[in-house]
Amino acid sequence: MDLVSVRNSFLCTDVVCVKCYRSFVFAGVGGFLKVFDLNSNRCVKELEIFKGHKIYGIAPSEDHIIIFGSKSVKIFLFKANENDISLKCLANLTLEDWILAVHWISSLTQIILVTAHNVAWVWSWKSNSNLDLKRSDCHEKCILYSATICGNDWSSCVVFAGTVFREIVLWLPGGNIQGDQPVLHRLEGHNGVIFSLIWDWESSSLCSTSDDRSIRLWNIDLPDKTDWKRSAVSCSQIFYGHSARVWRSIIIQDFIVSVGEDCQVCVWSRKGKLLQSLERSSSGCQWSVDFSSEHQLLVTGAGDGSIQLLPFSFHATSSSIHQVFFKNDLVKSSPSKPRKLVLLSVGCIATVTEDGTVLCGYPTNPSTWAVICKDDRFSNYCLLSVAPNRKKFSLASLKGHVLIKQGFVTNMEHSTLEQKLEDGKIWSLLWLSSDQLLVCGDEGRLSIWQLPQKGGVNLICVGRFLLPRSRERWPTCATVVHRDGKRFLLCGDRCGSLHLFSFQMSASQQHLPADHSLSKLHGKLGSTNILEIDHQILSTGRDGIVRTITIDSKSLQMSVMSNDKMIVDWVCAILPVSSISHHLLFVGFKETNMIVWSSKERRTIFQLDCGGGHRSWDCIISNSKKLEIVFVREKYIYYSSQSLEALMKPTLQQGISSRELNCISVLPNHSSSILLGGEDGSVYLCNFLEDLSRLKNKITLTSHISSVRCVCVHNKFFFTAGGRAQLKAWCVEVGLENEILCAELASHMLKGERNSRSPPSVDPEMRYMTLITIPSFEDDPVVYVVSGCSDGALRWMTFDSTKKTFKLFGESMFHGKCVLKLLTVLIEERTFLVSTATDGRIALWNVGPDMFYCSEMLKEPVFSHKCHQSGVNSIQSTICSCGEKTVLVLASGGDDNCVVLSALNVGQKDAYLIAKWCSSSAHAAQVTGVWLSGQWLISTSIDQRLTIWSWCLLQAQTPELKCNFLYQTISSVPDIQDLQVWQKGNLLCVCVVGKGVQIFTIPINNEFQITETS
Amino acid sequence: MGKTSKDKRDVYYRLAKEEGWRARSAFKLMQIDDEFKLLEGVKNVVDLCAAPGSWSQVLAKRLHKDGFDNAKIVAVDLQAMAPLKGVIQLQGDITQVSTANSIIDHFKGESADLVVCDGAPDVTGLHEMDEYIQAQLLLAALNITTHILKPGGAFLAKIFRGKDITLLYSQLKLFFPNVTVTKPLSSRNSSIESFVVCQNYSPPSDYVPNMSNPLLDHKYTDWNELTGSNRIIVPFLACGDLSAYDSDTNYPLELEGRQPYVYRPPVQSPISPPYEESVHLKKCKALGLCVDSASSSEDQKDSIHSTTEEVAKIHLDASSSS
Repeated sequence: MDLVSVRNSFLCTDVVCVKCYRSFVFAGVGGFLKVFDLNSNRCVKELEIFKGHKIYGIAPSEDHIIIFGSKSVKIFLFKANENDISLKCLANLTLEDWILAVHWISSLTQIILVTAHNVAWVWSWKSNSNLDLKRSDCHEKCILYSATICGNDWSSCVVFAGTVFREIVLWLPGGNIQGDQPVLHRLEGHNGVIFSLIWDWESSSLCSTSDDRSIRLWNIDLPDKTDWKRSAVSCSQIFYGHSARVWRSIIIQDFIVSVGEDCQVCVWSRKGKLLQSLERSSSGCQWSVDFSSEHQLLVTGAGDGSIQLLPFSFHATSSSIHQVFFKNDLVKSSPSKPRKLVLLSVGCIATVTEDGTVLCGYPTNPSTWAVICKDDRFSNYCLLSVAPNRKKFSLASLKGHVLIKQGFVTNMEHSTLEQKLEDGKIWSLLWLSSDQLLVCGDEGRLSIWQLPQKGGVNLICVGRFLLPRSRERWPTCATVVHRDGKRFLLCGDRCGSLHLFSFQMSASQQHLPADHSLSKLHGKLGSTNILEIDHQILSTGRDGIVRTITIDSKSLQMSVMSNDKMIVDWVCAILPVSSISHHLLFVGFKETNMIVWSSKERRTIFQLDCGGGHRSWDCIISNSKKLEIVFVREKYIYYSSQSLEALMKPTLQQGISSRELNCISVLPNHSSSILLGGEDGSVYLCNFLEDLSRLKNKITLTSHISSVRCVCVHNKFFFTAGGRAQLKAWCVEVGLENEILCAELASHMLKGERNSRSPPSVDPEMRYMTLITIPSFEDDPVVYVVSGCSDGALRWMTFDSTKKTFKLFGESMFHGKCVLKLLTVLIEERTFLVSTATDGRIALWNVGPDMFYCSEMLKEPVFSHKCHQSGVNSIQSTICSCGEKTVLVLASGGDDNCVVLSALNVGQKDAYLIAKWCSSSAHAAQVTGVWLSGQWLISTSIDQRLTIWSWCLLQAQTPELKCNFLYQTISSVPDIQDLQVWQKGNLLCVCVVGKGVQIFTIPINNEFQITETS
Repeated sequence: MGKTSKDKRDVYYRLAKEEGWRARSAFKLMQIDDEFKLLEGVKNVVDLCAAPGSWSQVLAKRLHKDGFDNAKIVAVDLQAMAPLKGVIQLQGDITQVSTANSIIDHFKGESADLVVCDGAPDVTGLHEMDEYIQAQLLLAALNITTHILKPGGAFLAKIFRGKDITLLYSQLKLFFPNVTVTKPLSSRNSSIESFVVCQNYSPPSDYVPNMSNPLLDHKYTDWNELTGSNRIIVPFLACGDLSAYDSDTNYPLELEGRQPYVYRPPVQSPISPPYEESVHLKKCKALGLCVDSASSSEDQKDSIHSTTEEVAKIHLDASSSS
């Protein structure tokens, strides 16, 4: 009978095993088994299999499933009806050693297991007698990292064992020799630990993956299927391609698929050629992979907790690039080579050659190609640009001529417009809409031209602007946006700056200057694209960052809302997959490859070797949802068409962070939304369903340059800080559809911004460890921020939300050792700050807005005491009354395994300890999270236990703190770094973060009492 | 990352290079010894999993300060290790009885007073598994220790303080009445690494050292041992005095009261890491190409050099040929 009922509500951690079975995918998430149906791509069953350890393997056969992990194994009967999935546990066993492999034999009446000290076990699990278990030891007794078994019965089965000493040993556990069984073969060659082994009967081959980043395929020559003693083994192929350790592989007919620590899923031919590599960089380590032959899909489980379906479609994509041919007579009559090209909506390509010939035709049909005009004015120099609707394109010349070809509604039929728009060279020609063109002449003179209505012949100038002076003074991208009844031109230039111009009522003859510029926003290599989608303005550039821009129509100012780092440095186009969903494709270049990256899946969905970004290319999503790419390479046109459906497969389960999470905060007024700061440098805003059972969506903020160690929420703002002395301020807003949006307000680095020439006064490697704000009124524009730093300092800063700037006011070196946690507490209308550090001390400071003007207050705390032997990782406080006095009670958790409660009497100028309680036996490792309220204390630790206590302060002559152990449970999240507890209706939500996220809920009644279950 | 970046980030890394220690872990042993006085009166000491040799360096410095006759130090590792003055090196597997026998031979039939082990596996990132492998390594060290340690002797080893550490504690408690977990200041706060100091070796009366079967850690027998108050938790003691540097704190490159800062290269760089070949192939842009397993590694390197120009072409072929 437990005193407290604690329920697991949500779990996201490493997915170490996935297994396809019929039309289902089984996945091990911590100790939970999740079953997904591939017809609906939904989770149809979730069941806790093991408490306290992970599921490492699943082996289905007919209606039975073995699930194992750590030292335990369970056998289930699986039944799938139309509406229900049932799993019934038939048998379970716990061994004294780590289980590495299981295998069904003897028509499912027995299973073989291999454990980490190279011991094989046969378990007759159906036998009614006591535990029917037989063991067989191998002569080679070193520790194994992997094993696999093949054979149909005990006497003929074979164990392949991957040792810590870089060998694979092959032995027969059912041999009839007394004592240890000899090693039959030693497979040498790997230069590191063997992480996985897989056997394929059909090809009689073994595939191994290793620490040395290679995969090896071993061919086993068997004279007869059971006579292993006469077998011969040779290494038939070595596969090098992963840039980190390779965890798993599977053999699918003639192909091998491998996954590794480098986030890659590689498909190989048996001959050793890398056919396809799918990167999933945002999901981290790829732990597991399997193949559904029924659905022809790959399934991977990753370090961020995601379970992703991937296409196994290189049969189709291997011929992905086609050269585009013209019919023979055209090649003869027009020998000039293509230089620039665009794709039109009807599916044809328009290209301009070196001598000014314009050709048009369909990519896969040479006979459709025809010359549509030949104009010497467009030889040598020609700009080619296509309208957003892709029914028109235009050419511009060195002498200011513009030629517009329009029509192309159902076929190549079209009409032509021509006008001289500039006296000299046209530097840039961009379409703003289907009937407006932006033309750039000499010295940054911009003009906007309206195309005539049907039947008209002349273009009319509707606006003139002047691009600010720069080294290369022409625009590379532009768009028109409407805000509050006003019209604006947004223009990105060749020097990476972004400019804002407002349209006047009537077109002036004067070239109007820019109203606002964001200078060198995208770095010196230039802006590449700007686009408005769903009222969001996105801007890309060759700095590899996609920025969201907002315009204030009153002050005529632009500001950057958020920055999203891409995996490529050269991002050049944004393609909306559909107008309603928030799904965009980004096209970029990396070395010689063109990369297409999906914002929804946060991975590269397609890449092709086109030779690099310095060429004419075009890319569209066609009406039939195909990704069509054309490019010029060595004077020939190449074409590629991919079905988006084949490139993108659904995500069965969304992940959170590829690396450890350091901190968690809950958004006020949004009790289903949490903010997380990660070791990977990202801040995640995770929105859950109301019952906290599932992640609804996740916003990833990637602008930190190093790890994020702390998140602190203050009214509608939040602050994040971490490595490289970087601190950022953000604002939370609620969007039109009640969705939560984040905007970056300011970024600050303690040594001053990067590139500043002054010598750093603060160590640039300094890490912010913790942040806290001093409570203030909602309308106060200034926020007081205190930070704890790894150089031993407490720093006091202000953030001015109107000016969006941080200002450093002072610092205290009181601790002198790495500061770990900060907390503010209100006692009788006075604010106090509590700080902790690796010196084991807890200090209490008198604070308030006046301290920012009176630096004396900051020098020394009012009280400090050494509470722990070493680092104090967590601290929480509450106020209670003892007689007539208000007492501050602090809970702290230390690196010394201890949970400590201290009661303090706080006076005007000093404070003293009146009672203390300490437990060193609740946790076996560092305590990294505590929470304290009313009468409850919750603590958590690296040992993955979550402990609930009840405490009270006894008011006697000498006050006494009492604390009782109530309940303990175990979390599936390793390396727990932080704990957050909040109330949501009549539930107490407890969230732990580390290598994953887990949320527990505890029912409470109105008086905030934990409901006791009987 | 800049050359001095790591020096700025980790004071002990920098101090180790300055003082000529092969690894920063030298400070951990010194701080543990300062607290527990493990080296007092020690004549025979064994360093298991000794490479790269920083603990042996500390043992030699502290035990041989009055001459080499005072104490014998035997360092055991599978890999070869650069020689150290006054340290007897033994290349061998700690799971073999022969290794135990040759240690005893070096002590002229005497048993060891102290066994230390700073070994750790390459971590995979799966904490549960890493902790298990580390526990097995420690138990292998304990197993050989039961062959060579004299009653009353001490055993010091690295542990990962994780989820199942209590199982290891209960195993250690069978052999040593005094087991303490300690964490020196030079080991980072919140890192999973800690050290167990096991004192007063007193094996169970019926215990016969046996190398043919590995020692295994215990398993949870009921739910109350997995969570609850029945877990065996040993006392914790932080060590390293407060004036010592803290490994989590950033210190300026110019440290007070020390010599002016100069950059020093690492005392010893890694010897043939597992990924050597892979990194080499990457440099040659030959990753993902067919490697002929029959030819030796040296031949491959040559043939790859000659085909680098063709690589780009092959890449295009790979994607365009059907």
